[in-house]
Amino acid sequence: MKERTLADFRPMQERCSNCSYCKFIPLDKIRSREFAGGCPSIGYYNFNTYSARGRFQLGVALNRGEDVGEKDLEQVVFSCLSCGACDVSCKICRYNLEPLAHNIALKEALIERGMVPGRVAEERDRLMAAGARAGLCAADLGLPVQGEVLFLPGDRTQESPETADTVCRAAALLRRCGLDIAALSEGFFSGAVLYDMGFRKDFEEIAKENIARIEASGAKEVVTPCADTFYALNRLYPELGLTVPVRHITQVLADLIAQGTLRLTQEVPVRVTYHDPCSLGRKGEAYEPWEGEEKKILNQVHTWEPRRPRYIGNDGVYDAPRAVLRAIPGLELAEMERIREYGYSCGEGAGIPEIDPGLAAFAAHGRLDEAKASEAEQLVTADPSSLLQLRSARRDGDLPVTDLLTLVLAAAGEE
Amino acid sequence: MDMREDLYREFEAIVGPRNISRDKSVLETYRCMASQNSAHYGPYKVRTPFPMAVLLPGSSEEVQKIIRLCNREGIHFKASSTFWSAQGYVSADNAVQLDLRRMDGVEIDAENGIAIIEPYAIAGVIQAEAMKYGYTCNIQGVGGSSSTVASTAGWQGPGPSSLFTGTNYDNLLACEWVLPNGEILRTGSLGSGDGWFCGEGPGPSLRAILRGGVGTAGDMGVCTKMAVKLAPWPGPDHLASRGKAPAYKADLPDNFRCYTLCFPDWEHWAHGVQLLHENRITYTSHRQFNMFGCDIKGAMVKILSDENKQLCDLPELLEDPEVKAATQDMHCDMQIVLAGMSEADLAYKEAALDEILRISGGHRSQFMAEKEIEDWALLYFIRMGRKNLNYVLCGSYEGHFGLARTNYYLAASLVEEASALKKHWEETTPYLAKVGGNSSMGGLAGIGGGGGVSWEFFAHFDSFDDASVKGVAEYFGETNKWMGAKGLGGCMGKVNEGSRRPDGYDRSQEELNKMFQYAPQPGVFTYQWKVREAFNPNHLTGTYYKTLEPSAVRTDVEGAASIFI
Amino acid sequence: MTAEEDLRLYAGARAFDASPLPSAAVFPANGEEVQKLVLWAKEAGVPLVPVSSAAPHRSPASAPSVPGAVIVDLSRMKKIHSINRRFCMAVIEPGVTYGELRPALAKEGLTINLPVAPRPGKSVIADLLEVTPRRNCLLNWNYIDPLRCTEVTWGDGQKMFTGEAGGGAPDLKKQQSQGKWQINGGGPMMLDFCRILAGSQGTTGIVTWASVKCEPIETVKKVFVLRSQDYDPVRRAVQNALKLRFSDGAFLVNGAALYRMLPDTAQLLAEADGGAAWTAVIEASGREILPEMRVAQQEEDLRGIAAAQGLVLTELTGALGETAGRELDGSGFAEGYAAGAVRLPFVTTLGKAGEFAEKLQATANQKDCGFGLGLYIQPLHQGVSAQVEVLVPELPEGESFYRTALAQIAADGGYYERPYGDAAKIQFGKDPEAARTLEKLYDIFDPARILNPGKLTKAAAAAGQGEEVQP
Repeated sequence: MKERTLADFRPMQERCSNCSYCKFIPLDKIRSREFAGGCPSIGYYNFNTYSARGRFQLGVALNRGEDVGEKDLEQVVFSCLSCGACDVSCKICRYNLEPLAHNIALKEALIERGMVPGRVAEERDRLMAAGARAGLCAADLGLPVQGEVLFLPGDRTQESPETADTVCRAAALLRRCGLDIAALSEGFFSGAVLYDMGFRKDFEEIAKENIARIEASGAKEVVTPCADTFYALNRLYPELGLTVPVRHITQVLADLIAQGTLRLTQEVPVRVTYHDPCSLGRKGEAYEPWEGEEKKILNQVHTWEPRRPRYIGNDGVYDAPRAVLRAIPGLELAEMERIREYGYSCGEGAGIPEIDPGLAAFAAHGRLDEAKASEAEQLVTADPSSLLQLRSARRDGDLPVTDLLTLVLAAAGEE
Repeated sequence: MDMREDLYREFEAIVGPRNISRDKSVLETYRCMASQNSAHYGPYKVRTPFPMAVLLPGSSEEVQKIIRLCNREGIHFKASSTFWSAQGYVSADNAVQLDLRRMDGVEIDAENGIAIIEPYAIAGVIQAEAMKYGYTCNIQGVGGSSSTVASTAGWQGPGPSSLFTGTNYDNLLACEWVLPNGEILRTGSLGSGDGWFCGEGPGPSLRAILRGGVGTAGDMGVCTKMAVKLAPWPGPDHLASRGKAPAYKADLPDNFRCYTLCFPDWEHWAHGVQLLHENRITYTSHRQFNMFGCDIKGAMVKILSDENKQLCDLPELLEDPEVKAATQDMHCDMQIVLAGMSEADLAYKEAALDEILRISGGHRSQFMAEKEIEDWALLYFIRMGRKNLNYVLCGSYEGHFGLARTNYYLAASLVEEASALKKHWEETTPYLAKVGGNSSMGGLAGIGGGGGVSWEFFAHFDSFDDASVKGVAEYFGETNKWMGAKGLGGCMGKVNEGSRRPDGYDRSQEELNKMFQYAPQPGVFTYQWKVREAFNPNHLTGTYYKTLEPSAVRTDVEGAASIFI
Repeated sequence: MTAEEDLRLYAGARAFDASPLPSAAVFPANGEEVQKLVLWAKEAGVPLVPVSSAAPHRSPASAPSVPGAVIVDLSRMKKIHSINRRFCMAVIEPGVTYGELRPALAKEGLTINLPVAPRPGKSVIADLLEVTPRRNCLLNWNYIDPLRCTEVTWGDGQKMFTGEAGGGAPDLKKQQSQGKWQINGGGPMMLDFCRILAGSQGTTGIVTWASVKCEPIETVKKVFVLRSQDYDPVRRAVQNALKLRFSDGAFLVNGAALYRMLPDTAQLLAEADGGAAWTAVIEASGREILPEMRVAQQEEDLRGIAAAQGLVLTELTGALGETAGRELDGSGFAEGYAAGAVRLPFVTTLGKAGEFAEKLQATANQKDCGFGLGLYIQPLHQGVSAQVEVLVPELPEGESFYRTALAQIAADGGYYERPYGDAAKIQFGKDPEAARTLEKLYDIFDPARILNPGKLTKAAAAAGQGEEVQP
């Protein structure tokens, strides 16, 4: 991947204009005081420091070699979910700032300097110990190892027997719909979380191994129910050489329903609301290769030569899961206030549930509160990691958290 | 500067350990470009001093305890909410920073059209809550992400809709305010516990000491809660938007219109403003998109209203004949929004606009009436959620020239000469974005109900580029001279220099005396000195609050210039 | 002027608050003379009471509260310095009355937002400094509109301009020649000088000119009424109209107040419909641009709003319309509509005003003065609040009611924003912090307490020191 040091971010650090947009969802989308926040980190800690704006300022100081503490700095920098909420909000008005990339670059810079808090190091070690081949394999999934479509079950699917079972049954359903589905003979861990934690080298190591395995599988396409795996394969791996395209399982299901191949005939009379996983949504946009540099026109106006891709979340996977839900007879979809590219994080991301459980719970509770306010009966998501995070944070009175796949299986008469 | 351990513990006991920090990394993020004034990001490089600690109070009582402790110990303090501006940051070494983020309440009194708000209630949130009850609010020119309390208590508070909604100066009702001496003042009807509906009296209005023509920039204590007057919103309880980021568009029923009005010259333009002020048919009235520059505004509108376009599309769009013609047509322009409270009301407003344009020689821009552009602009002006596009060209801009709530015939007569000066700098130096010179913009409603306009130019520059920063500062030296020569007071790009020293610290009283001792009416500043002595006896806040010692008043030379207000 | 019979004109303004005779009255001609007077009075310790309107002097703000005061009668200062049609601004001296200003403005195609039935001899500036509510609260973006900039001599003897005028040379003509028309009344900097003057009952400074915001004159005008035995439907209709910014003047009155304020109109209305407990008077007007269309639109929308409350919007036409228009714009009585009554104004919200009205009426009935009790309810500040003006008959039973009502209103949450007489004592008793703060302001602007002492100063000082001030 293209090397970007913290020093490369100096222009954007010094061009941040203190506007606070990074703390909120895009202002045009705000519907209430309660659900106006975008960044869970400043929502939890409240100090400016924890916003993208604060992080830019820390970056300025670090680049200038100023003393901004050690232990405190580490805590601040790694208490970022890398959810990308700030990135979308910032880019509503700014065409030359990339808060998410900078937040991750800050983490990388600290790792480079050996400034890694204990919990972060432990989480990294845990993930690296399992390595690229963690998780469910073909045998676990009951799938062959050869096929046109490679099914990658997800980074955390194996952590819950129920989730694992759902994913297995969903894979079987796809097979019954005619897809030539196969899986790897050993497990698959995308490593996206390591990238979001700032461990770029570790991530690249895992990614390269995975890319080789995917390319060697002979599959023409990858399908995954996991948001992080989708993000890794759609956005991160292509820069490292992956050529096989990836689809999220909801995209596949939506297509099958549209084609009439998959018929959802059973009533599922429930009112649900849908949580957009960050990695499937705003972070899940496809990688576009770009080589170029900043070019000023009209004396001082910043542009890039050639035109640079602008990731703002528009092309994430939002419509497919909703199309699938709407195809389920009897099901009613009630939207939350923060959705699509401005969805709110569930707290799962960048290892935060392990590194900073308080922050992770705060985010999840914010999402659960919002789900309840939507007057739905269940909160649905389409990602095992988000599902596990939201379920683990549930309190008395919160909505049940449901896997979209279980609803599809029920509607397809697979229960 | 380090804080004594025992003192830190005392502050900690007030707000709780989660809500105080002296971590270096935290303190670093409570610094700001020392020059930044209001929303502007001036051409400077020095940052404000480190606070000794940052505190996050959660209530008026906590704020009061903090300020009392500051008075006991002689510690300076400054409170801020959304931290848009250097005004909100400390200006001394022995200072604590109050971050009011935890105080974000919004309560709507739907029957009486009042919002009761706390400092961290941003305008975008207040508006969203108000819309649920058929109201909207004035959104200060800086936009929806800024604190309405801060704008009302701390700075000026007009916005594009102020002709209709009133400015924040007009809309302030009762408020609760912790004075710099630690006393809590509740103004108007709130003081006697009768409610939030009236901010005046009893007898003379005590709010007089809390804000004047401008707010007290955080130097007269901490406003912890206030009520503001709302305005009618004839739209749905949520303004839905459609389209893709960043070019979201309003998805509204058919009782809203957004027009760009074009006039043959500035005299006709001013006449158009006069008639709009007199007839008050508009929801929004603003000269907005010229802020990018008179040569590029059409192209910029094309870019910003299309999610697939970027700034690199500028050169091609600038050559597009349709865009060129539209840009030329819009040389003397303004943007307005009509909101029909009823079918008959909208019909009347449309007809009245036709008549106003007939009399003043104006017309509607066809280019801006295209559906996608109109809906984009409607959302822009109603929600003010994209005001940060002020920064889009280069990352920084600063307002200059500058007249607040002024005679629009006068302002209009100055535009071309000021534009020529700016254009000369754009063409002979590389410091400023080259946009055609004229980047004049501003609210057509600096006063609720009309009467004056705010007029300024934007200088777009790159805060990362030292030469650009330095060059723009030099340019402001020239614009300052120009303003002085015209008898218009100082250039607003220089306003901040009066409030902080170039190193980011407070001005001394001696420096302030020198600045104001020849003021045309020194009483303006000597009374502020007396009020400061009465309510801030320990001088624990900054020098944005301008004071002149009575003994320093000089009458040997006639006042040189009018002050910028 | 020192003759007792002349001086008596300045005393005893209100039946229920005795006022001592002043020792003299002086008639300065300009701001410089006023400043000299103030400097002299400060030195000599002589109380000064500014008065601007023509006699009879009915305002409780301008009657001395202490003996030996010198009346500063500004009624000779009648200059209209400027009328600017372009910016709809006029600069006038304090002796200019409504009766004088209106024709002068009309010549230039302008008018000013009026109160209900102003007495012709009332000083416009005094009325604005007293914050007398305007009929058209929708033109009150700012609470103290249409008052803007002033020239003032403070109690410490310093003279200055306030508002944007304070930011330029202290020379009105020079400012106007530079294109500055004293439009913006705030500040000029971080201290809001005009708000220290407004509502101060002459206790902080003496204003020698002020700029006032005007409006293009109406070319088409209609007056409507809504009549009901119940307050709430009328109130709701008015409130809903104001919420949408419909109407060009709206207020509510009970029967007695209607007879006091618009006597001939009341009579004609009663003949037409037999009378009603509550009447809302609503105006709609068109000015220069499409006036007929605007009035027609307002009428259509107001009619719909009224119908939603089960009310009929009745246009006052013919003789009735002419009578109402005339009476609204100027009282037929030299003393104004409150002749023979004492005004007791307080501020609340439009909804709560009905509760106050009911309770006050009940108390008045108990005191045997219920029949003559006038209740005038004027929406303020674009409708967020309302002034209730209780018009208490100047009768012995009226005085008993007045004393009871003063305390009752305060106890029920009525706010004496313009606290006259004992209302000041009660209000500052409820809000001692305001009293302490106000005393600090007096220390700055009138350190010797020479301007109209005994009004707010006494009440403020007493309350600030924790004295018992309940009557």
